[in-house]
Amino acid sequence: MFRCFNSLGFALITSTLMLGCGGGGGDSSDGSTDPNPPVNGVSHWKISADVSRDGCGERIAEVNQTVTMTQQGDSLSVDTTIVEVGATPTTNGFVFGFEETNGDCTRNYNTQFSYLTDTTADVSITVASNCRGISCQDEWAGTAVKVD
Amino acid sequence: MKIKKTLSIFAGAGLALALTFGQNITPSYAVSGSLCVPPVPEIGYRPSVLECNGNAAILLRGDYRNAYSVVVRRNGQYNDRDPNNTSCATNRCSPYKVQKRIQLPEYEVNCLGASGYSAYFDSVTRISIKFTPGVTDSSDTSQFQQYCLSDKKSDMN
Repeated sequence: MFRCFNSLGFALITSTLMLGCGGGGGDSSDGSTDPNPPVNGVSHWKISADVSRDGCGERIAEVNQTVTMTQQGDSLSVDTTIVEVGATPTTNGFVFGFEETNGDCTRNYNTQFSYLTDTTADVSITVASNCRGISCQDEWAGTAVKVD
Repeated sequence: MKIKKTLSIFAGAGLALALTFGQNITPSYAVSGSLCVPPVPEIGYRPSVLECNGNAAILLRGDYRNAYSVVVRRNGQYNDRDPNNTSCATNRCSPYKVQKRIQLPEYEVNCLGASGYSAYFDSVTRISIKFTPGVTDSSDTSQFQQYCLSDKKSDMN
């Protein structure tokens, strides 16, 4: 575990990220093969997702972000250019996420690629916040297109 | 095979007021007004990331992460405020000011208040950094510097 010191803050929210890493691609835990295994090697995917639920009253915008997927053997990871996390296969794609903490407050980021093909996927992003018992959720929905 | 693990890449302090100043923040020349210099490797930019609610982000590395503040600016008056609400100076009102900071081992992520693809960013020209809370001389590069942001829709550094 890394520990770094933050010397800024004031009225701003300063957070840290805890990465919950799911791992594994290709084979499921019972030994069977996933019906839609993620891409092999390294590939880049451009996510374009509109806000579908603005539940937290923050400044929020469409997500336009290119992420890098890397598969090495059974391991699948996603690099968002901000963080790199493991991804977990689902029945028709994969999911990745991480947690941001700020004192008593947490935000859970969850991004799902579904109906994954060689070049496209549906994308659903959920950010669930909980701060001292008060919960809210922002959501985005859109697509990802392979860009190389 | 499914693997479950939790990786804590960073844990740090919350809201602290202490400031430490970098020793190596001495660009070769100063700028003020709307002038800017080419970006240095310590500064990065992302037009839209899910970690910032789809908004743009400025990344600060090395000694730059100890800077007092960072914003993006347009030209003209009140250039770091919402052009539709210039009477409000707080960060919450502005698409150009930091809404949230995320501390990571390699850099600090400064989430801004709008997407780099939005109309708000059409007129943005530069990233502006205050290295100290009380800037007494904007031509002193140990206090203040501005870095050109030519392409607001592409990743930089």
